[in-house]
Amino acid sequence: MTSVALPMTGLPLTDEELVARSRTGDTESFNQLVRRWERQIFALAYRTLGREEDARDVTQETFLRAFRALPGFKGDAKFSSWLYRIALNLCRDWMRRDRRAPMVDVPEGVEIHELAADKQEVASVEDLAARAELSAAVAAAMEQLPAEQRNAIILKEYQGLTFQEVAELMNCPLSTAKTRLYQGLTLLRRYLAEQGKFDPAAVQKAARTRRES
Amino acid sequence: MTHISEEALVDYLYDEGDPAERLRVARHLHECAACSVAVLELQSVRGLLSEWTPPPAALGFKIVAADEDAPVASRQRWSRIGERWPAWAQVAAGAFLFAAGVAFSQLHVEYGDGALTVRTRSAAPVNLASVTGDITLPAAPVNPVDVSMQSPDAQSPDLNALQQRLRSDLAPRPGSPAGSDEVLRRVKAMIDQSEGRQQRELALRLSQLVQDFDTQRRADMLNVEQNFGQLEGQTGAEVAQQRELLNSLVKVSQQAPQGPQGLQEK
Repeated sequence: MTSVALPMTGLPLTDEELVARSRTGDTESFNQLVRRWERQIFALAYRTLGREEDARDVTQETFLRAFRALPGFKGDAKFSSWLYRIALNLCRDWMRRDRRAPMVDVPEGVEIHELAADKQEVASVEDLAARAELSAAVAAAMEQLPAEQRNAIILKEYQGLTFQEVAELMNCPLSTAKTRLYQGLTLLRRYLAEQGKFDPAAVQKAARTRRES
Repeated sequence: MTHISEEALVDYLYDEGDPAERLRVARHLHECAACSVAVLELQSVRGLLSEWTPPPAALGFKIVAADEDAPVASRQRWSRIGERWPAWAQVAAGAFLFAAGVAFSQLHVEYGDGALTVRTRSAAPVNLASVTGDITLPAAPVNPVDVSMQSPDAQSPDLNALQQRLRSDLAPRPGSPAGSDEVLRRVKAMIDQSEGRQQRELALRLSQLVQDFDTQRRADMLNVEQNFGQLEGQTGAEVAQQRELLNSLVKVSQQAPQGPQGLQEK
């Protein structure tokens, strides 16, 4: 995470400080915010839309809209929550405009090199292929989920937001956000089991072992 | 699942919510095989979810300061120069242009002793009360001797000669006092007329200068505004063209048949 350092303290500027500077027309401060959050926004858009180029377009549009709307941003919410809301709205519009469900493009074998780049340890080709296959299976299972459950899982599991933030972004009560997450995870368990990626018997055995110990 | 509520289970899974409630769930899981299996299954699902990673896309977006995208007052452009410049800068610019105009004219301006002095090339100096543009001319001299309003040293030889001739002509002649008085009155009237004409010309010239300056300023403003308008129009057109090109490219790429190596082809 890149950050602007205060000249005296050496501490990185907070989002709020960078937002305040950006509001005065300081584009470099805003670009610091872009660098700080673009990966998260891209990940959100990618997991929601399932296509890299769409996700990149949505990410770019998110920051463009945020920059234009910055004078109207009162700071009532966190800057990141505000960004997520813009991105989610754009994703929704994107899917509505294209009249299609999210299309997950995780073909076999293609992201082996991408996965390899992320890993420190040297993995065998078989391991990489297995991971790529698992990644594709998860993506396919996520695609089958209802949109509300999928969004809840993306925001909580992948973006690491609090339940309160998830509820606010999804405009629903806290309990509803938790229920959607639970139902989504339960459905995923079933879908992954159907694809042979999840073995309930092994889990039961592990649970028994844990309790006995 | 009836032993633990969905909300409590989710709180426990993600380590959120009331700590006391999470402790109660943990104790229950230790005793209840069904709930323990359910929680472990969901934890396994979470483990699998971590395998789905987004591709390492090249991002690096950057906002470039352009007029269209500026979030604050920088949207105001040169066309509104009068609104953007502070009052003192406008006054300074006006004063500079005024001085430049004066330099090309036959006027000479001096500032001293708290008053602005405007002088024509050959005429007498006229004191202006202030620099605010209100021109107040001094009352016309009554004494015919002071016709030139200048010290004798500064007068030209012609004027001196004229003065001498007038003095000799106007000198009272014995025996004809009435005729001398008549001539004196006529000369006084002529001098008054000449003085008044000079003052009127000076005032007229000054007002013309101010008017010319204002006209030029407006023309310059209009020119600057038009230039910027053209620039904006060109930039907007380029952006629109690029966006159209991008849209068509996206459409074509979406229509293109996806091969087995779809991701690489994109």
